[in-house]
Amino acid sequence: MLLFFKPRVFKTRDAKRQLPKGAIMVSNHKSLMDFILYLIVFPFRTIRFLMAEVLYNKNKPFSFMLNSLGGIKVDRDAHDFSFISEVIECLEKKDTIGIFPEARLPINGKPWPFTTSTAFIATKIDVPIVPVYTDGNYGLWKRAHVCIGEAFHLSDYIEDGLTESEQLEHLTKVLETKVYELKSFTETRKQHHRFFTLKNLSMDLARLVCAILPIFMRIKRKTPQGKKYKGKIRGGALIAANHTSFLDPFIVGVTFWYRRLYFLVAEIVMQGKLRSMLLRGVGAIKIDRNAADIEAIKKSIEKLKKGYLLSVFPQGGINRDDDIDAIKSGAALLAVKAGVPIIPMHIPPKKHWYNRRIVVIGNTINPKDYLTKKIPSTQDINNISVALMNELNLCKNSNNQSLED
Amino acid sequence: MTTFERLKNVCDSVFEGEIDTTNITVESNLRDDIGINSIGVLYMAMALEEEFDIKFTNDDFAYITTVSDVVAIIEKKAKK
Repeated sequence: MLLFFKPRVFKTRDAKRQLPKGAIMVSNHKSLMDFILYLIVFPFRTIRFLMAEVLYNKNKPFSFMLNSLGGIKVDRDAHDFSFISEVIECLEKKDTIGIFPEARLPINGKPWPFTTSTAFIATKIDVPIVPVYTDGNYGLWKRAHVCIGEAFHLSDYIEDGLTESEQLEHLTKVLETKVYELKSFTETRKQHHRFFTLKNLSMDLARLVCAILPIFMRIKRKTPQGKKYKGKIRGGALIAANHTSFLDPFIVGVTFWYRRLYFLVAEIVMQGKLRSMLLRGVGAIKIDRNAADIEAIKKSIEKLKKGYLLSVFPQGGINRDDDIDAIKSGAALLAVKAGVPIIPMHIPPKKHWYNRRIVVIGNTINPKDYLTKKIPSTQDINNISVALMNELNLCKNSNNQSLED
Repeated sequence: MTTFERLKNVCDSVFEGEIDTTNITVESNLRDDIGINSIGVLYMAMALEEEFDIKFTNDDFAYITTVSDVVAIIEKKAKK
């Protein structure tokens, strides 16, 4: 079966590869084979799946096999809700439950809306819920892709002032969103697995150039402690660097050549049709610094959420003196909204053409550590910006120290 | 709850401790009277998008100077 599915498993940043005990795994439903795939993907956890009555009614040996695999029979048409108490009993015993809330296979590729039973169970027993997405690409010459999301508690999403049925509808919507959020993540990760894609041809060619450039630009990557930087960034992240020259975007591109990278570029740089087209081709996102450019911000957040890197220069313009005493809070806003970490980076100004460029990549700033409440306030954003500025100054001092040495 | 009251609630949670929403009226100017900068406007717009389930475009910001402008745009978009 492993050869049949050949599953490739992705997980979001804070997700765990293994399912926790006594949790509910919630997945979209693509095929009757879904549950077999999950038995392979999670080999070290016994998962008890809710299974439709039609499977049990096929024949006795098959019914016996489903029972021995830990199946829990659900009669979808008979309004028999005894399975709910059975599920709660299993969860109390720390068994892991697998549920396909769509309850039916898609017709013409269109999935059914989630049924409310999962949300109902989760309101009765507060257990972690793990969203999982499968692309249903099963077959001998195909490869299945599975994405595991971060575990969450549905009780965190309960809203006051709703009736019981409205609450269930709302929580079911949350579950559906959590599962289908993983779809775009899966699609992006599938793209990232290929070094070259036609869709990103111009961007990939630019990366190829960036991969060769370190030889000529003589760039060295270091940590603030002066050691060689060996980190590899996975998933979406915001690269926030100081800005001392027009060459800086190239240096960021060279430093992270192994990843597809988008840039926020000022409107003034994107003037002219040809230049604009070329820059867009290599991943530039135009932002109007003099206006509230919500479209550029939304596009950047979308790219970050899809797992790309985005490079910004939070000083908002070139500062040749290399003073990092004020930065704009747009970088923090992007990171908070997209839920991605910020990677600070210091690029020293080049004094002589023969100088070697040492870039210092600072400690990752996780915006989640600075949030004081569910809806982040501007104060939280400012705190993140201050942390970023401090980290950039730390990188700068470390860089100046190593240049003196 | 009116659109204006919901907008004030959003401002309360977004600009907590930074601005005093009790003095906000529909005539208040976002920048001069309330003191919201361009990033603040963006952040408020995103919170309003979630609250009212609407989408702002860059063109909308060309017409926004006062609270009543924001209320008018929200109501126009919410109707659609």
